[in-house]
Amino acid sequence: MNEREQAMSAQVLEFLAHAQALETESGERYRELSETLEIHNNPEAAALFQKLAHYGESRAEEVVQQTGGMALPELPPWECQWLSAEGPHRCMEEAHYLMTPYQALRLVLRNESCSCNLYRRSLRDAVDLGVKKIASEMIREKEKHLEWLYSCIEREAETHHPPQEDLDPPNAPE
Amino acid sequence: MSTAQDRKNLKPKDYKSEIKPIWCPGCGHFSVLSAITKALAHLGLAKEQVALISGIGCSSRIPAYVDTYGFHGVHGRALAVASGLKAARPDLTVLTAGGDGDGFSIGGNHFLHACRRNMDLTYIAMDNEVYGMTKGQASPTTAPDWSHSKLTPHGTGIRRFQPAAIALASGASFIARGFSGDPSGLARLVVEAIQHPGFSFVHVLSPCPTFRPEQRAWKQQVHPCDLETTDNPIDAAHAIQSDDGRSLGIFYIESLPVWRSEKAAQRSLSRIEQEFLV
Repeated sequence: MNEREQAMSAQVLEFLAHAQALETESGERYRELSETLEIHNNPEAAALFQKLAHYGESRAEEVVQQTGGMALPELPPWECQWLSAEGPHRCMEEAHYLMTPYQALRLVLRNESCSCNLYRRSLRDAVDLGVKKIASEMIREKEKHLEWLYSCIEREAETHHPPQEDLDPPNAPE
Repeated sequence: MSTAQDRKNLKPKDYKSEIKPIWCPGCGHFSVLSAITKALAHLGLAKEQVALISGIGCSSRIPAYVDTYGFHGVHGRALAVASGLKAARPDLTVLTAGGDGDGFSIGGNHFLHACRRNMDLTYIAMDNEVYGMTKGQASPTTAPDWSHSKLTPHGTGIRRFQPAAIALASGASFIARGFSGDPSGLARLVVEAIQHPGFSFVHVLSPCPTFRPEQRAWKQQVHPCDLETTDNPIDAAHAIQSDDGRSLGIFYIESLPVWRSEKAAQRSLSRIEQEFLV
């Protein structure tokens, strides 16, 4: 066992497994929204979610790189310790085919704030110093991402208008 | 044929096909798809050993989105097709999926007899209490006073179909309810349903944000089932009948004889193929 592996306790690996599940889920959810919004002819929101999906996927890869080749414990989805039953991503039901980039960013902000709170909980509750160190790094990264989201929201707010009325809405009852 | 190691390495996304769902953004069915792929990955099932059969409706599009064998079938007949497949190929893991209209109205009779027959099938009914694909009509599980459809401007005035109660009365040996807003809990229910030998019924509350936007409130209404899982049908009946329709968990599991086709073991795949040649 090398020095890195010795330093990587079971708690650290479990924390990284959670982080990987969270970021993977994030990438997949945003990718799914991007594809759906593209199908529903909303290229602006689709492009935004595509960018965010890429961010989630990159973060998941970075988490794996931190293990230095060690296998992460396999966590069944129902054993992950999220903040609520909804899992790491909330309010996905608020997505709408007419949503503007501003509305999309607000939804993402709620999700990413939730992810950041998960890392903060780990930092607060962990006894293992290795977990505390990695959780602090994750929080710093998430806070940078949140700052970027806030700046995007501010920029979008200047030109934001509620979605135009759909003259042929899909939910017109027949 | 995949090896055990290959299957161990399969991730949930590996069970998703190249076809992109055309469900509305925010639809609960996305989470059901995610729960199914998570369950398949957790169980490490070989893709070629799984078949997902559906009927017609928004939710019944799901076989196209899963990278296993699948059949997007005939309205209300998903369970009939799945039963036929399981009889001929008992070695396959056969999942059936569909909506409340497909399963409880058009396919209501098949539902009763699939429960009664107790073949080793898993039935995932994605219930949004509306016919979404045909633009928002009342379904068998719609509340009698829902008046948002032009076809039923004063509501249907008819009591709701009670899927869990009817499954129990009809002889299903595994009855559970999940919620698309709890994707991890739902994945666990699907795993347990697949592992259960016999007919497993998973009733999933899956909101339709387009025709029933008020269902977003389900998130605040669902709660774990008060009673522990039982193998006693009387206790299960009491739990299900006194339930508000929003409790989640496994209500009932019983070990009952599983129906198998006696002839299936004698038939090779090539023999079946010969029989179907015209």
